[in-house]
Amino acid sequence: MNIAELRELCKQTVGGEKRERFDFSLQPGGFPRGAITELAGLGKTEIFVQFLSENPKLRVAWIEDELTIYPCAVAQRGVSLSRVLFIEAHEDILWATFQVLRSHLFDCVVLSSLKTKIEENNLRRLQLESEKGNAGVFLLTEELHRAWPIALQINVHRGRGESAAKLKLKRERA
Amino acid sequence: MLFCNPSPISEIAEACYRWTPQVALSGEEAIFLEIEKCHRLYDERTLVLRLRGLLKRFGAQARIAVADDVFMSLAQAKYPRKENAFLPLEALLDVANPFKKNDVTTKNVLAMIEELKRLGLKTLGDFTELPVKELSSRFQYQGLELHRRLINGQFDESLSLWPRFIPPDKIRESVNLEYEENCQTLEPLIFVIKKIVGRAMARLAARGERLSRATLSFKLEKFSTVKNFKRLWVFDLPLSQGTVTGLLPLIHERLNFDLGREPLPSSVIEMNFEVLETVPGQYFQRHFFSKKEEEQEAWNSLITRLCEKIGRSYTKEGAFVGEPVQSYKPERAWKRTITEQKTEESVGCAVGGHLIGVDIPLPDRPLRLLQNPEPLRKVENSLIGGRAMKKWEILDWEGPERLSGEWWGSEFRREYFRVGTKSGEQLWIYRIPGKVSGDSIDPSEVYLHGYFD
Repeated sequence: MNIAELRELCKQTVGGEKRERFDFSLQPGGFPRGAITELAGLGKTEIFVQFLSENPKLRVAWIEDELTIYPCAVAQRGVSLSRVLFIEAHEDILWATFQVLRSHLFDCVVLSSLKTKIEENNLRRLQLESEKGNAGVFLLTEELHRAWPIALQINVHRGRGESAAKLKLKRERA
Repeated sequence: MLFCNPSPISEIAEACYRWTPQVALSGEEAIFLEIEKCHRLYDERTLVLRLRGLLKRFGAQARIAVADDVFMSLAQAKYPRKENAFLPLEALLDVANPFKKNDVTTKNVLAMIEELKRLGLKTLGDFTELPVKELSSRFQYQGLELHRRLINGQFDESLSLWPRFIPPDKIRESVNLEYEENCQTLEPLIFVIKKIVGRAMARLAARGERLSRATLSFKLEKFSTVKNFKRLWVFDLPLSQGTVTGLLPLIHERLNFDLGREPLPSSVIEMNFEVLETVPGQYFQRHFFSKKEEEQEAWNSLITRLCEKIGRSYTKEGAFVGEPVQSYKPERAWKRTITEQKTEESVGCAVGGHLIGVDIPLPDRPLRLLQNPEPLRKVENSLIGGRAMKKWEILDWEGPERLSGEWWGSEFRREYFRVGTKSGEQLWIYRIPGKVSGDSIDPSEVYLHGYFD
């Protein structure tokens, strides 16, 4: 157990964290609600789909520039497709994300396969909208952003010849 | 409801169907609602409040009165008094002919009122105190009938005589803006649009229907420089809308986009909103203890706006729910569907890792699938290709999983491999068998189809 994980456990025990959280078996303390979480690295989508299968009541909006997610594979991993709204937004990806967040219909909003990094002011807007709607915004990216509005950043790592990925907490902002 | 000034009485009557199926008109003057059987749904005070809201929406003014009888409600609305006994004798006209159907009756009752006034009577209370025998000898059967109605508080023929209002089939709302100012830009116009769309949606809701297709048209002021005096927008909604709050953002976005490209050359002098197609609504009365209806509206509105904005430039189904389809080809094993929101009960059961109706589990499918498979070259122990001409050093191969079929259409045969690479990426590639000698793979026939991200 590293320092960050230990700190997370302390927070849970003492009750210092007021924000609601999504449970996830691979991440002690789960993922925060009403905040941005970023997952990067090989195996990030597998990890996130596993998280969805562990939380079968969450409604999800899955937004991509150009759709590469394979819904059959998502269903194969135990996620009901009827609770996932896929959006292929092209250049209107941020507009679509804000519309989804403002509708207050979804618990999780996933932004995946982004061609370009999201600017910090837009991340801040996303953070505010997610707080307002108490929804978790998840960024699935190749490399982690260096931006303060992201509450939790996780590096996903898959070793040589391993099929299962491991999580490594990079940074968490209280 | 007794109207004080000229109002769209038929449209308001239609919107009142939301509360009761028993609606009748009294000429262009009043609307009657029979609410006795609806007392479990709302009380009188609630209904009056809701009626006031509806009148505000239509920009109409009316006096509302609730009474046990049709004629008394009309009389109370016309001459507001605390008790029926204090109503003036003129109220006998409403008692005799509330639906304004019989002119002869009206003439006779007017003569009767004159006679009663000459005798010194002033109110309905005075009239009811008259002995019945006197009435029959002076005013014949009409006097007796009026007396009986007032005394017994009943209108026996009320239901059989109730001239039921049947709304017109077409729903069209118009507004004249000839004498209005600032009607050339979207921001002021959106207030007017909200008004007329609100009216149309209220009428639809009363019929228990939802909007699926509509047109909005502007008639422009005729200047010599203006070539086209009309602008028309057709709203073909992928999911039906039941409220103005769901529809208005869609209209706003469309007009904002179109008027940004081509502004209005002159002021709008007339605006029309016409409903072209409807679908049956799910909920006639709003559920007090469930947010399902609001969520459904929000869902429909969101999907419609996403499809409208994204679908204009790209695929129509910009926002969709994935639905598994029976197909042997991995890329065709699902389709995009635009559906209404699923209820809580239906959420939760996923399609497992096997074909529908077959219990044999399939090997894991990759979470990322390329829409167009990319050709790869195998050079020694590496795969080179893809969009960025990337090079992967192969660690291990898993497979093959042989997929073939669809001989009735586009027949295919593929052998899929899960390839582990030194960089940690896991690729899902396939080759087309039959063109391969032994175990070696023909470089020209290997394709990257997806990756395990």
